[in-house]
Amino acid sequence: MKTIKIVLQYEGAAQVLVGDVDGQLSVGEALKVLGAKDIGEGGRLVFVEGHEAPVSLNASVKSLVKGKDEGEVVRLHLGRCKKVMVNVTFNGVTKSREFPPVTRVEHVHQWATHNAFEMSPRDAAEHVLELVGGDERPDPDTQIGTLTDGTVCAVSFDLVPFKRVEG
Amino acid sequence: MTSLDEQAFQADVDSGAFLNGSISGRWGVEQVDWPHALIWVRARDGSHLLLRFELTNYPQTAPTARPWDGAQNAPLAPARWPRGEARVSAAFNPNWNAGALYIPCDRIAIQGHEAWRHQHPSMLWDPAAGIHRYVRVVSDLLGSPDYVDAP
Repeated sequence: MKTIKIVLQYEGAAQVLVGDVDGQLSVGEALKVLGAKDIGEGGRLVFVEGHEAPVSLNASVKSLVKGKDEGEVVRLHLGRCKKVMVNVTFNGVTKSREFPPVTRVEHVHQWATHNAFEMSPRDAAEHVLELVGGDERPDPDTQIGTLTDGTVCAVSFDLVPFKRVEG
Repeated sequence: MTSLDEQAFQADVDSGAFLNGSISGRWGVEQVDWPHALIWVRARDGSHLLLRFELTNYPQTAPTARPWDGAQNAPLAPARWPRGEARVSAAFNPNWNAGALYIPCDRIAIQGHEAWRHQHPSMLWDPAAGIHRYVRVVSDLLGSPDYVDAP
């Protein structure tokens, strides 16, 4: 039996479910094993990292794995947004792009710093994505769909520099 | 019997937010010997910095941590602390205190630095976020291009 690690995040929730499941299980069965709720209800779809479109609940977990090694990780997202419009503002300029909700903040940061604002790698690493209107800086592994409420499929960030702690 | 503060700590390191970073190889718990815990954090060069946390009255009281030499089971020699030209050396400063990190979420460092509460709100200790907050701050520092591995 090939065991595959699942990381599941939800729309609008900070909660992360992590568990090892039998790769022969379907996605729907695996989500139940993890204790996920609202599977397939209310227009909620399942997304897998690396794919643009939602996956079928009947697909096998092992079919989502790219490699054949033990210890594979499949990152899933459960939510209603098919795409999330991400707006990133830096120095008064806002750039926008749609991403699948399973996309991690780390990837959005890469897009914003490299593609959108064409920063050097050094400058990119000295800036962080901060949610507009607060001081929250989501983890690099946070899926952007978790930052939506599932009805408004958009997230806005400021790209801000890390500040040196002194005084 | 496990104390309430240790139970709270164990729940936090078993939480999805902490595990998510562990799965990505950003940090991980090496050992718990309450009220201390050894947690490693990955640096941008792939090396791991081991921190020894003191966690009494967790999470109501902020933790404090110091770089640790796992092989010697002793504090890491100051010469081997992470270095940098700006914010890394400011945070890892054994000349200020060889027993703590100079960051807002550290119990010792925050003392006497009320200004940090509005200067660095994202780096303050938050009992709701727990140990994840501290390791995230360290992870951001060690992922900085300012970081230079110690000799």
